[in-house]
Amino acid sequence: MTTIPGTAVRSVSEAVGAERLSGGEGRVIDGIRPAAAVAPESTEEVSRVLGAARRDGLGVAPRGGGTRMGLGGPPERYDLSLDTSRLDRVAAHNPADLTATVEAGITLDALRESLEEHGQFLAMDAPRPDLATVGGTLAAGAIGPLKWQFGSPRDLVVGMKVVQANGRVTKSGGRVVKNVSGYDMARLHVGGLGTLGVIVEVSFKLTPLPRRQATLLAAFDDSGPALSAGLAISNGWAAPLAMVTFDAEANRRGGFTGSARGYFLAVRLGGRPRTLDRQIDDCRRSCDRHGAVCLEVVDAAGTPVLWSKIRDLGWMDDDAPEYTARASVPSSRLPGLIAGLETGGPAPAVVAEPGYGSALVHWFADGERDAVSGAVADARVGAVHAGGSLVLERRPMGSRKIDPWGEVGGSLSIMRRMKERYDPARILNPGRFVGGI
Amino acid sequence: MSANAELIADLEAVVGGAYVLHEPEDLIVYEYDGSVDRGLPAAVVLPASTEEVSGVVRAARRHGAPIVPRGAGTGLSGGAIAHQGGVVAALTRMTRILEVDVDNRFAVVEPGVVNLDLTHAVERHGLYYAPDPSSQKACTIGGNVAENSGGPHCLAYGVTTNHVLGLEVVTADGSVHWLGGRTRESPGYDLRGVVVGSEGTLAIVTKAAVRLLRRPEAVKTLLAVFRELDDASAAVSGVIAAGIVPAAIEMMDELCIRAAEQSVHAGYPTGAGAVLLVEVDGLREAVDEEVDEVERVCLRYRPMEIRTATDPEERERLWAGRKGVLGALGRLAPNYYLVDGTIPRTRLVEVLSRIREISAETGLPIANLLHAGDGNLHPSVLFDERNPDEARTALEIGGRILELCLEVGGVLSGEHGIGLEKQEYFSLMFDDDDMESMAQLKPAFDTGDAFNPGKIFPAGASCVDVFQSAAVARAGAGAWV
Amino acid sequence: MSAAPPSLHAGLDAPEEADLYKCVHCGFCLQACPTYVETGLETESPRGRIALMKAVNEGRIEITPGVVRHWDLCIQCRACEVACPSGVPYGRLIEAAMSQAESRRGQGVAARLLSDLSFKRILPNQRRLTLFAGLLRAYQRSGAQRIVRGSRLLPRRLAELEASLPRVQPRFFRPGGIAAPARGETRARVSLLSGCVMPLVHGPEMSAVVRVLARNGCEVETPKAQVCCGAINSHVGDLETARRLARRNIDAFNTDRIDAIVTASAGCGTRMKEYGHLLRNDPDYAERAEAFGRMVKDVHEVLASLPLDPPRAELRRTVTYQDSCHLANTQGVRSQPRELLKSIPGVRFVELPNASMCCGGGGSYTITERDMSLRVLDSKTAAAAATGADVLATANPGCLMQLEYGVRRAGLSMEVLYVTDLLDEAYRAEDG
Repeated sequence: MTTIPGTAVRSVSEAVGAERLSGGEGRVIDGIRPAAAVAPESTEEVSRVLGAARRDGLGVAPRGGGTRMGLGGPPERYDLSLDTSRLDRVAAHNPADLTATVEAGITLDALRESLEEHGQFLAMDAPRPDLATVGGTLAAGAIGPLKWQFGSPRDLVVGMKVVQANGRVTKSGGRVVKNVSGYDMARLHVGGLGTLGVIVEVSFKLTPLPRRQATLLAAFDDSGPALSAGLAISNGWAAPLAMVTFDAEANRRGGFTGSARGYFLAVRLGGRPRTLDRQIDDCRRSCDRHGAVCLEVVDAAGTPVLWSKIRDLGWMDDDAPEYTARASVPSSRLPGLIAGLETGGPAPAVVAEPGYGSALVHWFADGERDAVSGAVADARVGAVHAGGSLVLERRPMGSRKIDPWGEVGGSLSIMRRMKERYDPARILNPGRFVGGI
Repeated sequence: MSANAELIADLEAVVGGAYVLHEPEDLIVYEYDGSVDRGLPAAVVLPASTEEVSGVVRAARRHGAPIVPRGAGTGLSGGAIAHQGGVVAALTRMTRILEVDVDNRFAVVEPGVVNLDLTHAVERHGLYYAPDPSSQKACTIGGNVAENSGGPHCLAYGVTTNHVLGLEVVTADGSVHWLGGRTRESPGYDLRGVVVGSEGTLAIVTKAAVRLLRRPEAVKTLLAVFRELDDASAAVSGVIAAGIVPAAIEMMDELCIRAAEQSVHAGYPTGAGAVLLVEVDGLREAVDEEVDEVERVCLRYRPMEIRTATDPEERERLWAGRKGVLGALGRLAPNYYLVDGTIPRTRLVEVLSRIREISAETGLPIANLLHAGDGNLHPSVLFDERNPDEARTALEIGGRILELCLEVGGVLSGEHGIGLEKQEYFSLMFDDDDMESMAQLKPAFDTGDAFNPGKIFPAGASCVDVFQSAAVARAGAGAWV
Repeated sequence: MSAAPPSLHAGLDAPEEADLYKCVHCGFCLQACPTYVETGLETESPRGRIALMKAVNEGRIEITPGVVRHWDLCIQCRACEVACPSGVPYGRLIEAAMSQAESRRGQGVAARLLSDLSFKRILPNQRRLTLFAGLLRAYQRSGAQRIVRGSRLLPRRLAELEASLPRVQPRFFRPGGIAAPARGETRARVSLLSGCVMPLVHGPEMSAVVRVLARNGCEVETPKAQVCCGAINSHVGDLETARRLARRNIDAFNTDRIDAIVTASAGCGTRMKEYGHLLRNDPDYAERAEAFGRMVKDVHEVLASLPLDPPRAELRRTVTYQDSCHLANTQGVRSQPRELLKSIPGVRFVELPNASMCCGGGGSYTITERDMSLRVLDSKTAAAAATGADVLATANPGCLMQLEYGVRRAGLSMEVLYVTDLLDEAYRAEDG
């Protein structure tokens, strides 16, 4: 289905006024440029935009900071980019209750700054927090290293307000930390790529900032012992905030540490003074036992700097990979998966999380495109074979070779019905989600 | 053959005659759960496998009979009650622990596995299953998934949904699906996440892959006794505001203390108006440092006494009063109506004082037991069901307390669910669009209203009279946390 | 409630409403109940049985054979009472329900005669019971048993029953005055209930109980006029006979000159401790029954509270312990038998997982509810085998007989012994 050019512009300007509209340049997805971009300033306006889009059958792609527009398949229709960045208020912050309610368009950095004053943070980190918004991060299911301790962001969401494809504003959950009143609708929207509705407001539970922080950085000869040390730490008493291994390629591109060779383990630790010391000791011992060749403790000042580099690897505009994939496998299968990546074709940069069972894999093409797409396909097979999955978070524009999501199994029929129920006219990100949803 | 006889014959063809119950004396014992509601099913069927569950669903659907899934029947909101008749599918024969993966710290279990049995089965590996509802000795994992059960220790570790990796479910057409998986992330909509807490309305869970946690290195319990309830409430807010998230913070008021003293002789000082129990676990050093800090916070609020314990027996003694208090309430009155709601933790002082006013105004005593750390209230209205006026008042008080929770920004249920018990209040929290949006999940999972119809959402017009009569019909017995 | 229709509970022994409605059907009892754990059926749970009593009380259902069937299947281990947060007196309720059922029981004539014969005529009369045991002993020793077993003539169920009969010991234990003076300084004077079946099938073990008490400074007497405690009659709902026996025992024991009435059988101990409730409506006996009940102590309770003078000789044994329902659940005696075992030098004690779950014994239950009894027993035996212990200790004759049979069924080499047997063995070893 194609839409007559101009319909989008007319229909949306009638709904919210021409001053909210701009051109579609810079909003290209997979080579498709929308007729217009709209930036509503309120939930009410989002509702009116979607109402108009539904009436006129416009394809709408919600957008936060625009960092994840490469996720998902090519859109079936794309007429309107719906920008949530003007919905950027902190609606409520109750520091003594460790809860906050924020509009979806606030950036992670802006929210962090506002919470930090009260010694709290939202335990959800995603690459490029200067751009990435709360809503976009949730919809894309984009999660950074903090998930090692704090789990998926969906576990931090206690309530959500969503504008449905029919324009209705609906809420679920609440603003308190414990709640079983009604269906947990927010679960569908976290990781749902905006295909069932547009997230406009989210209530979170917050976490007290650790009193002190430090990072233990260890170098090993290769991936095996680095991953084993990580597993040993996750089986020990220490409770890292985050823990990753990375290879020399990742280190070279990200500039995490000065050493040029080796395989690395970084363990982010936090707590009161004695707790922190004890954890550093425990982790140090585990690294020693697994043959660490070099150990370094990064202090409180250096820790956030190091971890933003790790988090942002592959997401800086000046060094973007050809493909980025997130693999999720049972933790014990991670070493096998990584060994497979090291031997099969062009070597990627790998940041993996021992004990959690996930790996971010970046292939920087450097001129060997076909070989790279072969390696990506092999990696998918490896992850599935290990009992997990592999999702492409970034792929070359227009590439159709590899399904960005992979197979999701028999429950796809239920997911399809979900889409039919919540967006029967298929206006929200049509075609971009799993199974062509 | 009557329609019912045909239904029974079809069910028997699936599971065998011994596991379809339909005699009056059998149905009577499946008309209740842990709540105050009742409803007689037409038949009870006890499938033993996923295939049998699927067969049961197909058979019941052929006859247009609603299906009410049931675990141990310890729920407190009527989730397992067949109030519209139909078939109760009791999953208590599906009790196998199919897999324990120590390396990856998860287990795959059938829905009838008892919560605490799972922990017992994995404790030799130093692991445990974290959600610990008060009924954990009896309730099943399947029931916990349906109700998204919590427990005292979910303050730090989260409720059931935070511990379920994947679910095998049978949907209303009898087909079998895996939702989620055995890894922490899987692509697609988080269907697993909506089935958890859906109160048996979307699908029947036939297997669950759940996370197992490692036993902490150290556990320390602190008991603080206060003369004034307000001081204890303020201490809770103080602990949270100081950036400490213990494993559990439990609180009891003066009435609970009196009951606990009578029954288990917990040894609280005379004149105690509130007791706080704070449990911290984790690394030994972390536990010491945090308990010290909790103690410092409590000292700011004029405690009468503070005790701490680390060894299991001593900790057990500190917990004795809390664990025995529910049974003990029966000593103060023949019945009690236990209300479940959550409020922001900053509003504890205010809400508890408003509950005191309601008690004074109505003349019925209200005992307060709280999972205070997460703001989950359990006010228990004491009454005598033989006095119909008291029974009615008790239920009215329950309604007023829930309205109070909503008024201060809280919710209708912290851990018991909506079920039948609170469906008439549901529209106080959600508007028509919200409810319509939730209701769409049912057709997305199945066609028709096969599973647990008539639950959660308000039943028809919710005028006050309807509620009153429904409430009076329910004023049967007490209920438990 | 006024003039109850005939289908409802009626009469003196009806379940009391106040007890019945203490149950708020929370379900905390479910996993404590052996028949629920085996079947997964609410119908075979304490909560279900109480729901049926309530339904009868409310006139919603009659006491049909189907209803009685679910009550019958209760082993009456009373583990549910321990699990109950509301303090529902389940033991009292099920006894009362059984007595209601008893009067309406539509049994075959033969079964009726057999049960009347055994429970009303033989059991309460020690002379007849002794005669019966003598016959059984003769059967077991004369070779007749071997012939019967070899012939395979018995139907399966009867053969199983025959196989589970306890082996009657060569010596009976007979009550009559002072059984033993205290050794050393007299620390307590006690009267021992010799019981009905126990002195016949476990005579030597009873003598061991007397020796162990005496070794610990107890003067032990066994009143001659005592009779069966009435527990078995109560279980099957024959409360009238139970009351008759209770009154005779209250008359037989001279409570003025003793410190305690001691039993070595948990079921008897429970029954006698609760004589007060049994005779609450008997103006002549109510008060004395209460006082009598307060004097009753289990032998392990007595020994542990003296406290025990531990044996000096070593027993090199790995021992596990199965709780007796009627010790643990109704009398709260859990730690004492374990402490006694651990006090024996050389004994390595291993805890039996789920030790408080019934073994399926339950007096006549092994006969009347054979299949369920064996299901429960086999689960228990498997758990005991998994501990790796070479002795499975218990503190109650019903349990011992049942567990012995379970060990035989499973073909295990494990010995099943009384706690007091092990103590006696150690004391005898120290005497050289």
